[in-house]
Amino acid sequence: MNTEKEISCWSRALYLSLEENPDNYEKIFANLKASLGKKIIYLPAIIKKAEMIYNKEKKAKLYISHDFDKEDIIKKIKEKFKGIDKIEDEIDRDLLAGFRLKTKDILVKASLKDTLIKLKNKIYGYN
Amino acid sequence: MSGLEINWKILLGQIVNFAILFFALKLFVYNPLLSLLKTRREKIEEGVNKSKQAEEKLGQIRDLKEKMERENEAKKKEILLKAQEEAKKRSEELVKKAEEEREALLLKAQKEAEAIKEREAEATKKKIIDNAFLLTEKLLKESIDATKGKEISEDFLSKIKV
Repeated sequence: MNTEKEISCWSRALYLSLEENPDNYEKIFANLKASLGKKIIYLPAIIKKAEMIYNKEKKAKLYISHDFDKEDIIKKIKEKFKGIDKIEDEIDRDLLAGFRLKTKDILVKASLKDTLIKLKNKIYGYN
Repeated sequence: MSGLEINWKILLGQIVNFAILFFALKLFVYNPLLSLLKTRREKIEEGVNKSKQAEEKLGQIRDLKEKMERENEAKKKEILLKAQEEAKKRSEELVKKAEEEREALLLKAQKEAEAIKEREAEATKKKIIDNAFLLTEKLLKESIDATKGKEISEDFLSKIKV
């Protein structure tokens, strides 16, 4: 196994362990150090990679139609979609109204533009 | 009457001479001449017979020729009739084939015209729908402000079920 692949494996393991037991982070790190042994030099890289995985897994992108106060909406989204910690927002006027939410796994289409596209496809008989 | 007396010796001599002449003539002239005449008559009869046979054969040949001519004429007529029928049949077939091809072409053209018509209708319909949606989008874009946008976003969000 090459170094990069090994670091990826350790990073994924660290991320999953911390996600399952966030309170036991000290114990998790102690175990990791013990397991790494002479490869302790990889630790910074493993932590950095785990952070990247965290950002990738927990981050979402929110596209909104207008520049309104979106704190309420972001709060409600975080409540509805568990596991999203960080939301980046971007204005997309083509949505007309509503929003689109894009995470690592899902794409929520909740805009008038998407409603119109759905309607158009229904008229064309594509669905 | 001494001048008119019969001299029996001379008479006998004359009779003998006559008999000898008779037999000699019969032997050397009459019989060969008769035989010659008989042969000639036979030849003439043979010639007449042959002539009759030839006449008969000629008649037969003439009959045969006439018969053959009649047959040939009939055959010729039959062949001509057959050829005419064949030509008529082929002509009818050609006409029929041409008619079928014409109908097939007509049908194909009709189908193509219908397909084009349908495609045009479909394209027009699509264009109308696209334009209607573009217009709707434009109107919505112009009429929805930030406040309304927020309301709609919240409405969408409230309807999402996770």
